[in-house]
Amino acid sequence: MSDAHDQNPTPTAEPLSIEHVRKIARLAMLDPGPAELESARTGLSAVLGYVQRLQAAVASDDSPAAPVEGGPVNALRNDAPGPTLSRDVFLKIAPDTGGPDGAYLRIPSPPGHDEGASA
Amino acid sequence: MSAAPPDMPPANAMDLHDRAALLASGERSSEDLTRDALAAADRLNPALNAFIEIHHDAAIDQARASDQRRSNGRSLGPLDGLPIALKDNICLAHGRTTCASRFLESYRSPYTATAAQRLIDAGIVVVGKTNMDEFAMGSSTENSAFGPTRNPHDPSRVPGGSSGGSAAAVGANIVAAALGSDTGGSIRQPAAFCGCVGLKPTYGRVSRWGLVAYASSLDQIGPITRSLRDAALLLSVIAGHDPLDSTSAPASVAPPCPSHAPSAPSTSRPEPPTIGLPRAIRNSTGNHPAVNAALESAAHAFESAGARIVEIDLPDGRDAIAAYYIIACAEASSNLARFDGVRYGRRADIGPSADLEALYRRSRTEGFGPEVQRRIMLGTHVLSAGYADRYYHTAQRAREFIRRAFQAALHTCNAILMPATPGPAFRLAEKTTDPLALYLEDVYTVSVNLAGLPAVSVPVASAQIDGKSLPIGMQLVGRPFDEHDLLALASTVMLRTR
Repeated sequence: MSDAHDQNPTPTAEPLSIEHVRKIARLAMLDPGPAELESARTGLSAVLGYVQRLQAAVASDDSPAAPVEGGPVNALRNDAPGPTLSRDVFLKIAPDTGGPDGAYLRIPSPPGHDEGASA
Repeated sequence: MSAAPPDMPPANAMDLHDRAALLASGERSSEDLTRDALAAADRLNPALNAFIEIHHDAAIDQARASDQRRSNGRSLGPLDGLPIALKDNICLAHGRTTCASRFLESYRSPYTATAAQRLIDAGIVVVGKTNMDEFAMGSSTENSAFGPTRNPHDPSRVPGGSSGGSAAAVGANIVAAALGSDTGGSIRQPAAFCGCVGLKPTYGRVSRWGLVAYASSLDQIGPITRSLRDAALLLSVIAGHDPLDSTSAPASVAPPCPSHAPSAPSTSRPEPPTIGLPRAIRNSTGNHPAVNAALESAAHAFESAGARIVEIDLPDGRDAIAAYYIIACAEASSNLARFDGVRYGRRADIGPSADLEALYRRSRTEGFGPEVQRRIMLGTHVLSAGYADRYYHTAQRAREFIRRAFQAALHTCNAILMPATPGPAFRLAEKTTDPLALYLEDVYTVSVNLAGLPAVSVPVASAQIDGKSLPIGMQLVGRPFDEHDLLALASTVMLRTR
């Protein structure tokens, strides 16, 4: 190995286009303005250029992609009802409550409905 | 109250064990220690910005309850009555849990994280929630919606991140210990920058339930402390199986340390340990000279203690950075999808005629800071059609390669010695315009998360820069679920090099 930890990465991939970054933003449910889009394009292009190095790294590795023994195991619980937090716990921290005895969460109207908050 | 005995450090510089001794002897009460911590937080926080929220009244209530238990002979153990702080991505059913994000600035969790609850059940007093990089995405605690935290050793420099508030609070002696979380070095790097001990446990050792997720296959809660024995003590309390975390290690896994370890882990062993030293890191020109000197000094300390130092080869840390940012950002883009202004987070005011998708977009764009948005977009890109194989699946293969390499090294070595960081704390704003430069700060830490291993950063030296003494941390990486041996080995190097 050479001096493997110097701080001078060499981007190698083509920079992303603004159109492509706009598409990524849309998939990510984000709505950046023109300046933020350009900043994202620059930053993402640099990072994606850098990570190209992985292609060469894994190409030299002939080990299987399957996880080794002893790795973390995703142990799922039974899909069965269990104890939950009580209604009072949620009402105590709710921004607004309503209904009989204040026993319901009051939430904003859904988009497209201008009828004030509903319980 | 009387002052500490002459052979003990001043109370505000003591570790948890020393403070527990003061409580046990009746020399100080929990309320005394808690008022000291709150006063220090009030005095230092305007300059350091280590805390997002300080829990004055609740902390005093908890301290008085502890004093009452002690006076009734019903103390809960060595942690009962000791003040600590929690990183603000660890849910607490008191106050806010903001993750240093505008999106969650008024969020109140209805429950407490398992790790925090275990400390509370042991009698700990929570003095406040600490500042961090937003959603734990950063290495400098500059990506906080509540302003950057400053390093207590030089306020013109960063404390590291993302657990920078926790490390600054411990480094400034506001509290003796704090909890942080480590996804790619977020406990070890700030601990190194602030002169603290920072322990990232084995993945699965500590429950992630109630830790607001950044990258679920990498996140792990751990302690930041003033001593290794405190790290052992806190780990012994927060560790253990939790059925609420699907990746929690089973109960059959050996405990991390003797339960409620009263002292530093033992260094006695039948054979001299073997310590691996990565060949490429030794005398790397990418390291600050003080880091290289500290690495050699630490290696010499091990040899002086009878250990055998062997040079080893590990995968290039820069490849690990690449794999880490692909995997972490991919997981983040999924985990943070729930923050949309409806399920979680501040809802944007977009008027009555807009549709639901516009509400999501506007809420997320207003709520997330620039770095979080960048990582969500990176994660979205590497998972999107046509790119997943090129990026995400390649990164997973690299992760497996890294795991195997560490596993092989730790088959012959008891631990691996390497720096925690390439250099001491850098200046505020020095790396904010170049995300890649900031990512490369994690070059020595991310491999450990990818491999799921335990690692501890200990302060071993300091660098004199601009008239300030900046801490240097060394990192020791251990075998999975063998934190006890790891801390024992670390105590050798910490004691002999300080």
